[in-house]
Amino acid sequence: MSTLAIIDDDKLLHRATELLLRKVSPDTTILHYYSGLEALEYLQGDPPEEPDIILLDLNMPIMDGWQFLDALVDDPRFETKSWKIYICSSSMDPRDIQKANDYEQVYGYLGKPITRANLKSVMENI
Amino acid sequence: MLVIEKGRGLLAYNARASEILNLNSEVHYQFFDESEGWYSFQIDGTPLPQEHYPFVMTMHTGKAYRDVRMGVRRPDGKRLWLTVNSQMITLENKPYVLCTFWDESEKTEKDLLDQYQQNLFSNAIIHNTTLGIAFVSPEGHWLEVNHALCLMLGYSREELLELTFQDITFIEDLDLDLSYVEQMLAGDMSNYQLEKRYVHKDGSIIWALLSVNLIRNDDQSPKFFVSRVVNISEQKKLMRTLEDQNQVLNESRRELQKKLSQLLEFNQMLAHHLRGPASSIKQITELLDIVEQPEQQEFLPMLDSLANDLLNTLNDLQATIHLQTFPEKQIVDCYFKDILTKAKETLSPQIQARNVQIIEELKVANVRVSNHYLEEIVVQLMDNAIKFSRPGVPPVITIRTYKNKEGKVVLTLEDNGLGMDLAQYGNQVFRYKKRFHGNFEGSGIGLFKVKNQIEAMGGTIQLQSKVGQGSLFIISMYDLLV
Repeated sequence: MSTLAIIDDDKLLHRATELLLRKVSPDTTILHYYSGLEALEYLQGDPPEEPDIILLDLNMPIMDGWQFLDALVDDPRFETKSWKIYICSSSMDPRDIQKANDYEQVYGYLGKPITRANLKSVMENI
Repeated sequence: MLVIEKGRGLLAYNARASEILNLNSEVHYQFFDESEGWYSFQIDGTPLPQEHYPFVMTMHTGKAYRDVRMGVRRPDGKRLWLTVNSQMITLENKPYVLCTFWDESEKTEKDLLDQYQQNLFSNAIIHNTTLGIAFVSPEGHWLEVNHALCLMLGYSREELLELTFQDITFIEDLDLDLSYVEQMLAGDMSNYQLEKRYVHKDGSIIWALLSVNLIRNDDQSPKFFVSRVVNISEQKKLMRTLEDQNQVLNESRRELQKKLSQLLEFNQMLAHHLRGPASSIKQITELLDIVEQPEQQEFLPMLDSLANDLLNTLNDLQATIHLQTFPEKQIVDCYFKDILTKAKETLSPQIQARNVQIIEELKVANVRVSNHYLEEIVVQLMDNAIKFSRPGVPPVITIRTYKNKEGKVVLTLEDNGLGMDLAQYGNQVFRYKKRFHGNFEGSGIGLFKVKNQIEAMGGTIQLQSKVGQGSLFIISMYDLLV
């Protein structure tokens, strides 16, 4: 049993991840968040179910991926967490990739679209 | 040492004299006689007549002579320099001339060589040089000038000596030069150097690097200035060319930087608004592969809307690129009064519906830009001001024009509307498809287009804003040349 959180305003990614996981890792629980703030509020509430994997979009309204990462860095409660955060963005801008690598919390960079093979290797790497 | 008898000649000599002069018994009486091959000369090389030999003069006048330097060429050709003393002596009541001498050939030849070199050297620095050298009186009169200075300034030496340096100094550079002269005369400086301009006899300007020293008399009163003048006109010309080219380069650089930031903006458009929908379409085709027939149906409307997004973005992108150039015939003197009248006409339904008050303070009447763009810009900004007004507060729009310190024409548009939090959105206001007032309709490209239009005309736009108080747009432009 594993838990995966999707933080993305793009509903298609939620649906795609859902459908792909059905093939790759059917018993995974999925948590859906449509902005960084939504996810942050959930995680700060000391939830019973914590994600093993976070797929984080960069370009979102209200609180974007960078702001979400900064909020994690600033909150000492998250220091001990061992979530694997994957940036999941259609931006292939090298500056974004570099910036993402500068965050200790970021485990990897997944491009969009998300593929069955990508998701499989993410799930096998928990 | 020689002893010479009046009327007869050389009477006696010692061994050293014999050695120096290479004497033998046969030459006694023809001593120093030209017919025997002797030749005497003075320090400057001219012949020394026999009656001027020191011992001959002593013989004739009875006087003593000391340290007379004379050149002698012996019959065997050897050249000597002698320092000679001569005086009368009396031996057994008879008068004789006693002549003592030293051979100083070696030292004298060296002195002569030194002097020759010194002459060459001073000739070189005074006459055969491009360095202008002059002695100038404390009052500014040219006392002596070298050939190079005459050549540089176009005057003959005689003409120049009639003038003062003030006469031929470029008028704008005179005060500085004179102030240095004063400080030197007052003893505050021992020398000075400056770049100044002279006026050539033909009226052209000569740029010079001038170095000046003051020579003083023993009583410390000023004697004259020594001025050294290097013609740097050519260097100045090169410098100016270089500066001009530098300026062109800087302008190009600024232009390029602007183009680059536009490119980056387009890149961002591509990244967010083309790559997004494109990768979504790709995502759907991936999924179609793994899902069953009934589930495939849910993706069809998505595909349709994604394709629409793509097309719209492409249209906007094309339109924005098209904005970068505009036909020259659009560039006219745009009168703000006319532009505002047209804008009010276009927006009259909104203006009446919201009871908008428009205040105009136009200190500049017109600017030479694209009238088409300026109209669209004003309409867009006024439309925004009305759209984002505060509920229950009648909109007041104040439009001002004035000239700023750089000479640019500034158009400002101030409203009392919702305003926005620039700390949060400041750098995104003019971005493509950024919307800040979620409850209002808008394409999200209004301000993006405005910014592109202004930049295409070489202008800039800034925004000051406070939430709940209103916004102030500041547009700076300058007259475009056709």
